Amino acid sequence: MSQQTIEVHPMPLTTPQESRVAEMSALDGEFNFAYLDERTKRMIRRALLKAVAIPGYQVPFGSREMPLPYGWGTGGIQVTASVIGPNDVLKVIDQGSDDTVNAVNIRRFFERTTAVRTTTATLEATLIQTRHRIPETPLQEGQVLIYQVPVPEPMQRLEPREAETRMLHGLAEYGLMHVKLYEDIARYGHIATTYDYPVLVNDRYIMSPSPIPKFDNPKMHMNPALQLFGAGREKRIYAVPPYTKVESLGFEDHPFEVQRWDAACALCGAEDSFLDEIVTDDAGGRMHVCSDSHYCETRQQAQAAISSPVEAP
Amino acid sequence: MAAVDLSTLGAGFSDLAIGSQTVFRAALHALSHPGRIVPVPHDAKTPAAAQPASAAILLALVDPDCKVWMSPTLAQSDAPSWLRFHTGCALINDHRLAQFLWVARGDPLPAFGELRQGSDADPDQGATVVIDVAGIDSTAAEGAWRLTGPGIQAVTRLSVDGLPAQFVEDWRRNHAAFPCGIDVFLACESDVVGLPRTTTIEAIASAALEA
Repeated sequence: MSQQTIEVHPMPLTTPQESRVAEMSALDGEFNFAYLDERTKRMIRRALLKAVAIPGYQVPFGSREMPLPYGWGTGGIQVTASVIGPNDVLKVIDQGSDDTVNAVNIRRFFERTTAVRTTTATLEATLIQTRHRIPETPLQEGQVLIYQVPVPEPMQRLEPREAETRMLHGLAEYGLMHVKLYEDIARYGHIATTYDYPVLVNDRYIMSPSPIPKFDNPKMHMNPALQLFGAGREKRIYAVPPYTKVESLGFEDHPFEVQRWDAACALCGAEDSFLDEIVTDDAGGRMHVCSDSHYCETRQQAQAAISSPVEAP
Repeated sequence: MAAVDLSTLGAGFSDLAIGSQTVFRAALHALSHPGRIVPVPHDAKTPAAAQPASAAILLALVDPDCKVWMSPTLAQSDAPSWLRFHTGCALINDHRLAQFLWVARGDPLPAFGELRQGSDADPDQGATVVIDVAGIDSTAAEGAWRLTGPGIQAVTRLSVDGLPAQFVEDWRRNHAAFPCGIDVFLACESDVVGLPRTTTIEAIASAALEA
C-alpha cells in the first residue's frame, strides 16, 4: 500500500478543525466508547480470554460490520476496540510505517472514538495494532501487539473445507503443512515461503502469523508482550501469550531461515532491520530503506545528534 | 427464585464501558501471566457473599448469551439477583451446562471433569470457573505451588489458602486434557490470579523448600 492510494481513503479526509469537532461530538455520545457496542465487546473479550488460554487456536467470534471494508483491518480494529481503555497509548503501523494510509486512518478512528493518546514511539505504546510487521524495537512486558489477519487458517490453501481443518487442528495432524514445505524444496531447492510462514505455537497448534515477513517470525518466540490476532472477514481470533514457544516450521536438512540483504538501510545504515526496496527513478535506480519508520527515524536522529553535537553553554 | 427487592441490590459499574474494560484488562493480564497476582480496580458495589474481584470479573464479562452457575452459598445470597439484574445472564442449576461457574469461599468445587470441556475441534467451549479463596500469596513458602507454562518466563510461585488438597491433582488432569479443559480465576479481596488450562501446577513439599 503506497502513499499514492490516498484518493481511495476509506474515511473522509477532514481538516484538523473538522476532525476535532467530530471527535468532540463522538465522545459526547454519538458513538459508544471505542465504537463497538458493549455486548459485542463482551463477546470479543470472552473469545480473547479463551484464545489466550489455548495459544494458537482460532476462536470463532461474531465479527461485526465496521466502517471500513474487509481487508483494511476490521479484525484488528475489533480486537483493539475491545481491549482499549482511556489510559492506553496507541500506535498503529502498516508494513512497519506509522504514516501509510491504513495506519493513519485506524489511528484517527481510535482518536475520534476513544480520545486515547496516540504515538509513533514503539516503547511508549501500550497497544500496537499492526498490519504485516513486528516492530524492530524489542517489545516489553505489558505491551499488547494486535495483528490484522486476512487468512487465519494456515492450511486454507491446502484444505479449503473448514470442518476438515478444524478437525486436523484438533488431532494435531499437520502432515499436510510439512508436505507443502517439502514441495517448495522439491521445486525450488529451498523453502520458498517468505511471508505468512507457518509457526507451531506451544508445541501444539500450527498458526498463521499473519502476512508478516518470515524475518519477523523469530521475534514471536518468547516475546514478553501479549500478541493478539483478529481476522474480521474470517471471524476468528487467536493469541500468543507472553513467554510462549513459537517455532517456525522447518526440516533438519532445510532449517528455517530468515531473509538477509546485501544492502544496509540507505537512510540510517541499519543492517539488522527488515528493508524495503524502493525504486527511485526510471533508470533502474533503487535504494533499500527500513520498513519500520520509527526505528529508522530514531537511528537517524541519534546519528545526527552525534555528528552535530549541541555546543556546551 | 423468590421475588427480590431490586432497590437493595448494589450498583454496577458507574461507567459501563470504562468499568468493564478496566476489569477485562485485569482478567486478560492475569490469564496472560498465570499465577501472577493482579489487582482488579472497579467501583461496583458487589454482593457481600462474594469476593469483590470475582464479582467484578463476572459483571464485566457475562451477558444474556452466558449461562452462569453459582455455588450454594452464592445461590442463596443476593448474588444471583445482582448479576442477573446488571448483565441479563441466564442462571442455571446444572453446573455441567454452565459457561461460567462462580464458587463461593468454602463451598465445595464442582468436579472439573463434569464441567464443559469443549471438544477437540472446539476447545474454546470449555467452561470458565471463578473461585473465591481465602488468600493468595506469591511470597509464602509453606505449601507453595510451582507454576510453569505459556505466559510464565521461568517459574512462578504461588500459595493459595482455601482450596481443597485434591485441587492440584484435579488440575493435573485438566491440564492433561489440553486443548480441552477449563480455565480458572482465583479471586481474593480485590486481586485475581489466572490459571489457563496450559499452566502446570506442581505442589512443593515444605521439606524441599527448606533444602
